[in-house]
Amino acid sequence: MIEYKLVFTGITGAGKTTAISAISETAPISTDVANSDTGFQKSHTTVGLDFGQITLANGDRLRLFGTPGQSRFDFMWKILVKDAFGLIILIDNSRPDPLADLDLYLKGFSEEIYTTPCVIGIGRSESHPTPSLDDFSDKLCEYQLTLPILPVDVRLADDVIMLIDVLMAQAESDLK
Amino acid sequence: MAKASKLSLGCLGLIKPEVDLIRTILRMSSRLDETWVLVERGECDAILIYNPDKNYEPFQLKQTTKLIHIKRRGESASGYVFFKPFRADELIDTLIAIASTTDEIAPLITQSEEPQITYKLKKWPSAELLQQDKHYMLLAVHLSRSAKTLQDLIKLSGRPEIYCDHFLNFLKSKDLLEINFNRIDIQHKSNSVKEQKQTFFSMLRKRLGLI
Amino acid sequence: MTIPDYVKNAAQQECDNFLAEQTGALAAVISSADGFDVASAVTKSLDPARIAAMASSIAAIGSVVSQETQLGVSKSVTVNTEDGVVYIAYIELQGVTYILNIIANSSAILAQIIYNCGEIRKRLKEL
Repeated sequence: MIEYKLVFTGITGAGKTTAISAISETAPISTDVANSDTGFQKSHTTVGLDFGQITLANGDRLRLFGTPGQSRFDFMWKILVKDAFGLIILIDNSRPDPLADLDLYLKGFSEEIYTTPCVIGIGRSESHPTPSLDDFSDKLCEYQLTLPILPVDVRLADDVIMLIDVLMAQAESDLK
Repeated sequence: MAKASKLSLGCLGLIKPEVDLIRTILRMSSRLDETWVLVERGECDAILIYNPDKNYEPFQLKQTTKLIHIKRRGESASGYVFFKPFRADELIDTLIAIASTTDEIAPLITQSEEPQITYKLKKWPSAELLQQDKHYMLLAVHLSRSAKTLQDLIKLSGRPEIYCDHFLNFLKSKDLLEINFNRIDIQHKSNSVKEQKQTFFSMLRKRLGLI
Repeated sequence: MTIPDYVKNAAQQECDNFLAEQTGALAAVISSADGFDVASAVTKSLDPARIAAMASSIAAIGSVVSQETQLGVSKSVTVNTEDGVVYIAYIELQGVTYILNIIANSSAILAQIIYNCGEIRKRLKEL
């Protein structure tokens, strides 16, 4: 049996837990606790990890991990991203400075970001069109990165699946 | 490669008054300096077209043929576009741009069988560009990972050569492409690792309803 | 929820006392469930903020494990290391769950740490 790991990261409230819930075949395990950080309008926040999985017809499995969003839990980022085949960074475009939020994860995953397949999912971009997807593309250029940037609604399984499809395309490209 | 003395433009789906207008622009423009000529069939360097179709008869597309889409002003567009109501200066600008890229790209494409030319994305393309065609994103993904030859792109995407070539030319016209003339050695993974991953991805796509 | 100053002060006093009195103690940190340090006493170059975040993650994972295994509510997690021990326990302040994190070297006796933490829990719960 083969198992691959996929990691969802991104700012608190961007939808990591929701994204995993949208596609996991079982109710995801989450380590949500009461949120006392007034910087985020959420009642609960992930402090350990989220976990879900998808089992394939031949028994192989895709394990889905969600990281805590806040940078004080960056030790969990390192632990969870180890040996992941792909990384999805979720951004909430309704936040005061989504580009700065992206900076946080590009720096936090600075070792992995240049080798591990990675896609950026921008949430709430329809109601909050700025910064634009091109602005995010410009931000990535500062890191000499060319990563796919897609508008998503992680409540929709199809959108989450699209992110995973793009990750697989990246991984297949690397196999060449 | 020496620039051709004349470049040929075809019109597909245009009514006669529109064709006559185009012919007049080509003949009268001092900026174009009669480098472009209107043709009615056969090979051409560019085609003005309303609806891109697989059937381009009576024209024959070359590897380097550029498609110029005709759209209404205000419609979203990317690639080479000619907006209606027509403006002569816009068509002239487009034909000049195509003429300049034809010089640079054509030799690259004809050398596509030689492995020393690779392409890589410098920057993720705009959403507008990618929405132009459902396969563009996949091609962009492959070009974003590492330098690829045209043949690599064809194999990875499953799209025909003319399609991939058109996309490469398009990216170059937007200055989104890094072109290298030296083969970049890529470490190939062992076959067993490749097969294992490919099998996994294939099964995962089935499971997710993607195929 | 904001903790009243007197509760915070009491929590700080417990941390200070633990560090002073427990053989081998290197740090005593009380943190919120989402990883913010509320009171702490540390030695060396230990960072209370970092310890608080790690403790909350470990505690949360411990909770999930106990739920999955249907062994009841998690009360504590112990990490035995080559040169010491990390002990993480749930406590309550003003009816809200917090985390008490103890770091000690090999001269500490785990049973003693567990006992003393139990006493801290009782005293803070009564405030």
